[in-house]
Formats: sequence, structure tokens, C-alpha cells
Amino acid sequence: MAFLLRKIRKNRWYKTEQLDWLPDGELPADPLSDLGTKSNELSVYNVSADESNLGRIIASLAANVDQLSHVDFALFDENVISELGIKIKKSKGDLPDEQVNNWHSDLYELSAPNILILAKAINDKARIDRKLPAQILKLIADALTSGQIDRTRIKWKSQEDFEKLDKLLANNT
Amino acid sequence: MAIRETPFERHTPPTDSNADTGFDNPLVENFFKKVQSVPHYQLQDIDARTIKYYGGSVESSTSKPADAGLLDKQANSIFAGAKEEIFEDGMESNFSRNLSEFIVSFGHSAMETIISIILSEQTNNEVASETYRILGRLTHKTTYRDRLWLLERGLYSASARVRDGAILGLAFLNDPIAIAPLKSAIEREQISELRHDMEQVLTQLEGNKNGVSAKKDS
Repeated sequence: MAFLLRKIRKNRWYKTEQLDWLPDGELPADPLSDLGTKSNELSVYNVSADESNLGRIIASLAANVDQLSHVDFALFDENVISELGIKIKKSKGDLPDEQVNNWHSDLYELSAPNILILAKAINDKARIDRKLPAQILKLIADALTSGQIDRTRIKWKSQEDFEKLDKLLANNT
Repeated sequence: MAIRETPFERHTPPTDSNADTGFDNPLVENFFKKVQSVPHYQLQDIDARTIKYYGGSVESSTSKPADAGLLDKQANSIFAGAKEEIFEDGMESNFSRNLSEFIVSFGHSAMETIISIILSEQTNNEVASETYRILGRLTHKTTYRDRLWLLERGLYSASARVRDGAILGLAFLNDPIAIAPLKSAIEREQISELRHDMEQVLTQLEGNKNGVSAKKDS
């Protein structure tokens, strides 16, 4: 069973949070913010059944933003997509790791009801997890050491973030 | 953002002094007077909720002289603009840029204004949560204790989203001094996912206590 990964904000998806105003069984609206489409398509990454490429994908996602940050993500069975009748196609990603770009897919021809049922499926079935900034640094350091990520394509704007990374790399050698 | 009605005690604060609050703003001053008037028998936890805020930090020589009215106006403008923004993890926003610049420019006076806005629930939970993340990420020695104090205080928010922002800020600040309030927050936390995230941050901070130094913006 392989998985699909979608970057989210974990605090929008708490299952055990009681919202007094929300009818039983309904999903609040905020999680839909994590499923924003462009041209009615939604970007996801393909994670192997043993999750051996999970860290590499997360490192690449974390290197593709303005600053060092934690990464929250939802990981769900790829079969969920076909069960929901949602179309999926392979497409090239645009991250600093070329191999990760090959593990990219788009959900396409998405309707508004598609997004809602996908959100419900993620809420019910996905594993929602977080990597803290310190863990992200280590993942990126490992990816740099093994040549998976091209340093010049890390998008961080802050020199401080690079200094933290360099310090970790120096400690590792 | 409401603050939870939880008990607290008078202990030597881990992050601050026992001096008077030092706040010029009556709203914050009154808040702390209320905190200090709680009877001893209700007092149980040790963390930022119990700590009297000391506003006597020495400003950086680069901080601009601050007029309280103008600071309030500027801060309110920054927070008002934030309500229109959609925040994404790892991405700068107008709010993060403006708030960071505001703090660096006006130091403790800026923090006093921000604390007032956050604790008086003048902003929504999403913006409050984002504020905590920014406070943790910022490197600015002058306001370090102010930011640490507010982050610890955020662990008491009634909003899970705000509590999450507070732990993310603390994870960035990476200071083992937050271990005690974090442990206390874990004991109180009802949302299992958030409790797990708090435990993850606790593990990180305890790792620092055992050897790795905290950031402390120095």
C-alpha cells in the first residue's frame, strides 16, 4: 500500500477538538484551506509503502520555502483517491531534489464536492504528522550530504537559517 | 483568544523577576493585578501564568524612542492587516515582516503593545497563533525574555490553534527554561494530537538541557 502526501497545517485537523457549534460528523471549514486548488488541480507526492522516501520528500518541501520551518503533512492510502472517483496523473514537481520531482502527482478535474469528500477522507483516514524545525534541519543536512538536494536551489532567505544548517553539517563531519 | 481559567501559584518565576508589572498600559496592568489577587489556595501550577511581568528591560541602543499612542496605532494597523492574510508554513508574510520590524525597531515597548493586543483578544486565533510562531523565530536579544514570557503564556490559551502556535514558537526558541511550563501544559492538554506535539517539543528541549545550548538570541 503506497501513500500520497499533502502538506497541511496540522492544527486545522484536530479530530479530538470539540467545537460546540459544529454538528456531529461534519468537518469545519478551515481544513479546506489546505486543499486549495490551482486550475482545479491539487499537488501531492507519492510515498512508498515502506515510507523510505518520506524524509527525502519532506526535506525537499522544506527547502522550497522562504525560511526554515516545521513541516506538517497528511499521509493517506493512494487507493483513497480512486475510491473517491478522483482522477490522478503523474506530473513533474518543482522542488530542489530532482528525484522527488519524479514522485509528484496532480489530482485533477477537481470539483468543489471532490474537495469536500477528499477533506473528509483525509480527516477520517490520514496519518497527520509533524517534523519540527530541528528535525527538518537534519533531514536537509542529510539530503545535502548525500547530494540529493542542490544547495543553490534552497530558497531560504535568511542567512541565519543557512548558518544553522552549516553548523549541523560541520558537526556531522 | 481567551485565556483558560486554570489555577496557578506563587513560585519564583523561571523567566522573570518579582518586580512590579512595569506595564504602562492599564489593560495589561489590570490583568496582572487580577492575577496577583488570586488566593493562595487556588495556586497549583508553575509557569508563565504565575509570573509577574517585569517591564524594565533595557532597550537596545538601536531601538527607536517610542510614543505609546503611536505604537498602539502602528501595532493595531499591523494586526488589522494580518486578518486579511492567508498564512503558509515556511513562507514570509506581510504580517511576519511588519511584526518583526516593529519589534526590532521598538524593542520592549513594542512587546508591551503586542502583549496587550494578544492577551486582550483583540485579534483572531489564526493571527494570534501566527504571532507566537513569529515571536519564536525572531532573533532579537533585547526582547528575548518578553517573547519567552508571552510564549509560555500562550500555552494557557483557550484556543488549541493558539496553543499550537505557542509550542512552535517555543520549539524555535529552543530554551530548556520552557520545560517546566511545557510539562504543565501537557498535563492539562485535552486534545491528544496537540499533546503529542507538545511532547515532541518537550523531547527537543530536554535534549538541549542535556548538552545542546539554547538559542537565547545572543
